[in-house]
Amino acid sequence: MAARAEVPWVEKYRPRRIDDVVGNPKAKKAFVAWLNKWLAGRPDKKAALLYGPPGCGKTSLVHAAAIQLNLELVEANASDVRTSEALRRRIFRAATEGSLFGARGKLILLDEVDGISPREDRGGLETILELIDVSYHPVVLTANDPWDPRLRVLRAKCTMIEFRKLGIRDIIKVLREICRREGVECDYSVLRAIAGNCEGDLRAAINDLQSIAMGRRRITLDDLEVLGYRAKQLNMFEVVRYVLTARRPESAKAVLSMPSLDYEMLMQWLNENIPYQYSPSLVAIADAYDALSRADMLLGRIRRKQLWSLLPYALDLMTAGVASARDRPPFKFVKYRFPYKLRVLSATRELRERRMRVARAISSKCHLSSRKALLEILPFMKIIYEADPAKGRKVLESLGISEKAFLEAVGLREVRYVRSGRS
Amino acid sequence: MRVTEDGLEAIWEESQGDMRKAINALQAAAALGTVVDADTVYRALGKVTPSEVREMVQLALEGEFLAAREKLRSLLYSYGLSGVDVVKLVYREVTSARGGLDLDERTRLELVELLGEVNYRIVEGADDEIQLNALLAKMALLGAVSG
Repeated sequence: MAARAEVPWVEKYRPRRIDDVVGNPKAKKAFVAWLNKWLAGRPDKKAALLYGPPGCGKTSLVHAAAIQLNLELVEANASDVRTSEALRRRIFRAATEGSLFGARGKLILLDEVDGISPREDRGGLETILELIDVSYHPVVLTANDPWDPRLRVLRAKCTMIEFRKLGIRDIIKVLREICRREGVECDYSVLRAIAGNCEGDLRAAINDLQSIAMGRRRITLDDLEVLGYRAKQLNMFEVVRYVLTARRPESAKAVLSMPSLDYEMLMQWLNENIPYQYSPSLVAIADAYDALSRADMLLGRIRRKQLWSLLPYALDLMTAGVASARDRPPFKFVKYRFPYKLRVLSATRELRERRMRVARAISSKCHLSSRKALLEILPFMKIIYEADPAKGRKVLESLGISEKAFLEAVGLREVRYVRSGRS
Repeated sequence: MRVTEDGLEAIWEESQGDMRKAINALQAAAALGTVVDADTVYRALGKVTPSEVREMVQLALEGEFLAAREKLRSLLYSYGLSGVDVVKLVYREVTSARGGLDLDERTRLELVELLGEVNYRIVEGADDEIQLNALLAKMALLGAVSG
């Protein structure tokens, strides 16, 4: 049952040339123009702020440009620069020194500048502004939402480059190319379904494709249906991956802004998949489950006492809480599973009901609850029956329970029943 | 049938004053042999608790979280036990004199405290499996630290 890990296709197929980055032709042109001015001498603005929804190619464009123009890419998450002194020093040194490799230039990339939390990262913004001022090299920032009033000063220092959601055709093109290179045969209708479902987020689409394609040579629309990977569940894969592999705990909270998020469902999906993502680290698994169990405890109180005011705490714990597990292993791409409980509960209902019927029969004769009967009488009856079927039958008779029902309930097989019946 | 002194002793030890349990144990032991001694009593009682409980506890303490979770699911969804049932059975396993669990006293007490907390949360309305998975994950850590 071990989960298999594989290189994330998102990384494996990151474009290596600017032309290979799909969509957003205007943004690409503006970025290349800005970069060329830098390389030719002095640019109008020292920094560029690439902004737009997730998965539309901001980071990919920067990576591709660095490779194609032979620049050394120095990248970090914007918030980490503030919170980690070591990283801060590394970035500042890189920005103010010539390149390690002779005449080769550098490109400084700070991701998610809008993720800087105003409270914890007081001064985080100042750090970035200072970096832009002192840097000898182009500084690129990315953000989903650059219009936060706190970022006003930053906007003034940057060439603003807007990225838009990718169109469905661009996404299908990329998915089809990945299928070709992976040797996976995939119906156009499947690619269309995945692309239509990702809301212009290519990263999400590629992750979905990898989830579905794992271990298969061929995918048809029927596979999607049979496997139960419908629109909503495709989203669930992505939500779970987002929470469990969030780079910083606070960014895991972003999933809460999805209007369609079913948090009870998310609890079940996390409960299922935490160990697959976080093994082999026992610390990470224990920490994540600890946060999840606290969220669950609060949800229980909300359900029983209608204490809806507790909901924000529960939501925080199930996202940022889970993602703040210590000792998380480095990102790996694992196949997530549909929650066992939801899968199996209906399949084993028959067996449970058989046991409960027998337990109820015992309970009415022995004056105790059927739970107690299940735990404290039924097992003894089984021992007696196994050791001495004749005695066992007498007990069954006195309780008015049929032998067949009993054997089914305790999971003794029919063969055994026939043999012991003859002995 | 014949009952030996140590057989009675064993029944008393295990039933802790619960008369129904004591009589059940006596009857089950009697079915296993004509002489009820400590050995038959323990053999009978050894079968009362689903073997999955002991296996689950052991796997968890060995750090085999996923395998332990499989056992838990079998108890909850095939046996049809409630979360509180499982907590009680684990407690019995952890405190039983015949338990072969190799736990130092500190670890055992930490476990007991966790069991109490899980029991309370479930009674309060929390999800059986999520709470017990959290318990198993902590046990895996405890086992790794103390082992």
